[in-house]
This record gives sequence, structure tokens and C-alpha cells, in this order.
Amino acid sequence: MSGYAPGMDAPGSILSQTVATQTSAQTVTGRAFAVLDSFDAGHRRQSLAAISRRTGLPLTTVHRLVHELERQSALVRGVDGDYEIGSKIWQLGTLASVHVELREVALPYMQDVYEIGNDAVQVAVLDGLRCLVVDRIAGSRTISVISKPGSRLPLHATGVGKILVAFGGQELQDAVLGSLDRYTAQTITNANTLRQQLSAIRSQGFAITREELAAGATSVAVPLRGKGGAVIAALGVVSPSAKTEISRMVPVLQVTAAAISKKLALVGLAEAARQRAQ
Amino acid sequence: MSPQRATTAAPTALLERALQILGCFGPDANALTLTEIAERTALPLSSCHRIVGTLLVGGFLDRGADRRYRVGTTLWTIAQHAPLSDRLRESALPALARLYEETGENITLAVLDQGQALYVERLMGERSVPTVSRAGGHLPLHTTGVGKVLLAYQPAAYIDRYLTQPLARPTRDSIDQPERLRRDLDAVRERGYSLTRQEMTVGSGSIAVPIMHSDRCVAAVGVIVHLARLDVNRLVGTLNRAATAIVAELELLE
Repeated sequence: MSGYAPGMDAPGSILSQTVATQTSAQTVTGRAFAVLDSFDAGHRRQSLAAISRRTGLPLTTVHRLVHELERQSALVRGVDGDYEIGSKIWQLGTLASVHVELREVALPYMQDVYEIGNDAVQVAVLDGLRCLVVDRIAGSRTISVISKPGSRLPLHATGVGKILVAFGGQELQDAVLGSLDRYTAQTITNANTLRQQLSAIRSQGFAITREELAAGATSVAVPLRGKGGAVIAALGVVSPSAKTEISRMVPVLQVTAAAISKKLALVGLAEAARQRAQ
Repeated sequence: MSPQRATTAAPTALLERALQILGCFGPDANALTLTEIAERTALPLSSCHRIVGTLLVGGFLDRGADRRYRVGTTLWTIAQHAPLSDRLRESALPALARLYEETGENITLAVLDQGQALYVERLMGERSVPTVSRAGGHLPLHTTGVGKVLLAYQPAAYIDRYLTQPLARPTRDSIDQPERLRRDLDAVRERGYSLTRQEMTVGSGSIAVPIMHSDRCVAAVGVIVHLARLDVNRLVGTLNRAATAIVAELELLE
């Protein structure tokens, strides 16, 4: 399974902090959701003590909240006694816009791309100053990629991320260029170099990264457009650097992106029509 | 009620209400107004407003330009860390994609959840038959291919209990007689796959096989096809290869 690089999606993410500081002190609902929010890519199974430590809530409070969350299938207790996210939360997640309006539309097309190249395929959207992986298909036969659905990756070091920045607003570009963390020797940390690359990405319509996030991994990505032609997501593949030149996947990705974008525009239109009718 | 009891009773009641509010979102109601939430939960508008506010701040709900609330991205993100998604779906997706490419049919992956089949994933394409299953949705165990497998591999006591309840009959061909269903489940275990013909949807049939892990049936993988394309021998072989591949991926996680 893919290793999760520490610091890639730090536990104290902006979102966790928001929940913990703005709401937890005030309401029991906020505290319960801080408990849920303490589960992330690096903490998928947690003991009561670990939850208490990560939320800063007293053990007795955590005990009571976890018990109630378990009763409602929001959490589930594994055989080892640790807790995991339960079926209720998972089910609710399938109702989120990102799921209904993007993932379900893109998945059949992602399957096709996966079958063609046997490379890991992913779709990501912008989430603050990170890209949020909405879905991916990757088996043990593909390269071990860090991204999993729900992971947040740096924008400047991933193919999908570069697409989202290149086609994003000026404000986003300035914010990203202002803080370029290094992950490998190949990560682009010079703002001018990246600025030029973003401009090239806009004109050529695809982005490539070579070992900029993890050694041995190369990625290529293209934009996905919603209704009105705005770029709302990115589609990419990640493959081992040693494999055949990754740019061979560009035409496949572009054809697929056009098909997905056509569907996304329809979904957008259907949604707009439904809203007008109500 | 004594003041002390009031303070100890209130917290979980509030949490229950918050989960109740989240619970009124569903496949047919993924965008609701505050008034609709209040109607569906039968909670006062003012408490709805307060709890929805908390959920909004935490990103558990989002509010669109249309002033409707939807399940938020934070909740979606947390949901991706559930073992259903993180372990099962992740491990199964490549095999499901291959299965789809090989058959072009509707592919489903389900687990047992609260006495029903919970669909973890469904892949379909242009020529797949329309189905009522959707990822995140529940269907009865005894009327679906994946459901029959999940039920057949439960302990005898579980099956006995299941058979004592009224059995839903979505189509004329659904098996709603306990003894007939019991014989059908015995057959599932004997031959290692389930078979349904128009028991959930008229015109369609399904076949499913178990995903066995540590001597337990942890999930079922199935295919839903037009009755005319229900080629049992070919589909069982294809499904078994997929199940083997999924088990191998699950074992890699340990």
C-alpha cells in the first residue's frame, strides 16, 4: 500500500483547527465532530486515548461522545478495540456534491484510462491551497502513489495540482508561488520557473511533473471543465519514471477529459434546471 | 427533572439531533433548505438553525448559492478514511474496473450493513442495464445477488432470524417464502455463487460470489445483466477471478 509521507497532510490541517477551536469549546456537536475530524489519512484507526490527545478533549468526554457516535454507526470499533469511521458517515459522504457531481461522473472514464495504461489514475479538485484527491484507481500493480481519495496534496508538486493553479485565478497563483515547499530534489521551488511553467501549461493544455513529489514517480494531467467551460477539476495519471515516456498518455487524457467535461456540463445543467424548478 | 440530570442528558441529545439532521439527507434529498430540514426532523426551526450553523462552520454541511444545504466536503473527506472506502473499495477498484471491461455489465460490490446489502461501489457503462443499486444505497439481502451471498455466509442463527421477519417482495419473482429462501441460500453455499432472476428488477438477473477473508465473507462482488445475457458459467468464472484478485489486494494490506 502507498506510504503516507509525514507532513503531506498534517494532522493539524486548517479544517481540523477550525473545528477544534471555533466550535469544540462551545458545543457538544462541535466536540463530536472534532472527534470525527481527528480521523485522517495518517490516523485511520484510533484508540480513545489517541482521540483524546489529538482533539485536546478530556478522556471522559471522548468516551461519552465516541460511545454515542458508535451507537449511531458514525464510528465502528474494530477487533483490536480501536475505532474507525463507520458506515453512516461513509454513506453520508456519498451524498456530497464532490461525490455526486464529479466522482460518479468521472469514474467510468477513469476505468478506461486505467485499462489502457495500467497507470494509477486520479481526479482532484482545488481545496484551499491544496488539491483534494476525489478519486483514484490504483492497484498493487501500479506505482505506489501517495494520493488516496480524501488526501490533500501540494499544488505545485503534482500534475493535477499544477493544472488547478495554471487555470486558477491570479490570487491563487500568487498564494501558491509565495510558498513553495520542497519534497524532492526535483521539486520546483523557484517562483519564476514555476510561473513560466504554468504559462506553458495554459497554452499546451497539460501538465507534467517528474519526481517532484516523490522519487520514481512521474505524472501528467489535464483540466476537466464544468458548465460554462470553467476548469473545475483535473484528471491525471501517475506512473513509474522508468516506464515509457509519460507524455504518450496526453492524447488519451485529452480525449477522456473532453468526454468527462461534456458529461459534467450536462450534470451542471440538470442541477441548474432542477434548482429553477424548485 | 433535577438540574444535574438535565446537564448530563443534554449533550448526547444535542449530538443525536445533529446526526438526525445529517440523516435527513439522502439520494433523493441531497440538497435541502432549512425549512425542509426542520420539517423532516420535526425539530424547531430555531434549534435546526443553530445546529446547522455548527455543522456549516465545521464543513460538515455546505450551503450553495441556492441557499440549500448539502453534505460538505469535510464530511466527504472523513468518509474516505472509513475502512469501507479506504480498505475495501481501494483494494477492489482495479479488479472491478477489469471486470467491467471484460463484461461491459453492471458491477456491484456490497457489504452486510444493518440487515441489508450496502453498496460500496457500482460500475456501469452505456450498455449496462438500468438498476436500482447505487453506491451508498441499501437493498434487501434476499432479492439481490450480492445480498444472497452476504446472507448465505452468515451464521445459522443470523439466517434463522432473518427468515422470521416479513420478506419484502419488490417483484413477482422475489422469494418471500422462508423455506424456499433457505433452500436457495443452501444452494448458494454449495455452489459458491448466488443467482437471481427478476427478483429485484423485472428483466434483469444477477450473479454474485463471496469475497472470503480470514474465513469470513467480508463482501460480495456481483454482476447485474439483462436476462438474455445471463450466461452463468462464463460470468461465475469471471467473478471468481475478480474475487481472488480482491482478496490478494486485501492480504497485501496486512
